[in-house]
Amino acid sequence: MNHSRMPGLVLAVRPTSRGFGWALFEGPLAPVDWGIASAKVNKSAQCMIRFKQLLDQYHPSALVLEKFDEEDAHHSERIRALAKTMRGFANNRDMDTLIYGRKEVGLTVTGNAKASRHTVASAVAERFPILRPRLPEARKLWQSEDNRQCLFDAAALGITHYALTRPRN
Amino acid sequence: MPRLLPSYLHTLRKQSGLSQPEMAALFDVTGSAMSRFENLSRHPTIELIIGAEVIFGQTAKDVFPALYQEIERDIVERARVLRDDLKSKTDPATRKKCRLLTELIERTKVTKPAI
Repeated sequence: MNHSRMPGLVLAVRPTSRGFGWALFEGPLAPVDWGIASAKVNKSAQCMIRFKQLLDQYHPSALVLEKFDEEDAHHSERIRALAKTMRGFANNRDMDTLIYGRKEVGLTVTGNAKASRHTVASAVAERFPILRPRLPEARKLWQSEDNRQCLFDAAALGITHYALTRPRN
Repeated sequence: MPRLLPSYLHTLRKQSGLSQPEMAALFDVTGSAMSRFENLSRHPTIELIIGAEVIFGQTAKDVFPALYQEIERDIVERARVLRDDLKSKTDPATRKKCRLLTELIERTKVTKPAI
């Protein structure tokens, strides 16, 4: 889609070890588009290519990310750097960048700041039934995370943004 | 809800759970044509606009807001020119036409799309 910048579109992105999940909102009711970008090699570069494509396609006015530098956040350096790069890239495009911590997301979406990511994902699926078929099952301790989880993380960030809407640059 | 995207064909398809080949089959177009319609690299045809209303029960104004606004703007501009041309005449038929054109212009002001 090639169109001029449209105020109001919000892109929520959640980078993971395998790529990133994203959800595009024009209001709090439901995402207008969503997806998962995956990369197997050269992950950060591939993710940034897809991220740029999304910005060029939709021209969102705001980017929503999860707070990656929290003390209790367990993210690799690569993911932290990728989130930082995305943030910088959005700032260069005069987009607002909003960052919410996991506790804020949990509290906003489920009412419990310590809610597990799967509980948050279930609450998102409850709110947006269209995403329900993609809801992964709760993972066991010995299982790795389902790639679809990041999609729900991104949607939860969007919900949190509309509920709180407070910029933190 | 403001309409912020130029086309909601892709959104409606995803929200309905249809795949692109399934939707292409419904519109009787190829998958690549469907893709081009969705990302607006190809202008929607009349079959696509009416088909979208048949499939999703939404009007052209809701599915293709940018295209609707573009056409509406052009028609209003032409309506203004036509009304100005007709202003000098005062016969009943012309007055009726002017009323229609004025109503059209006023109506588009009220229902101006958000984008």
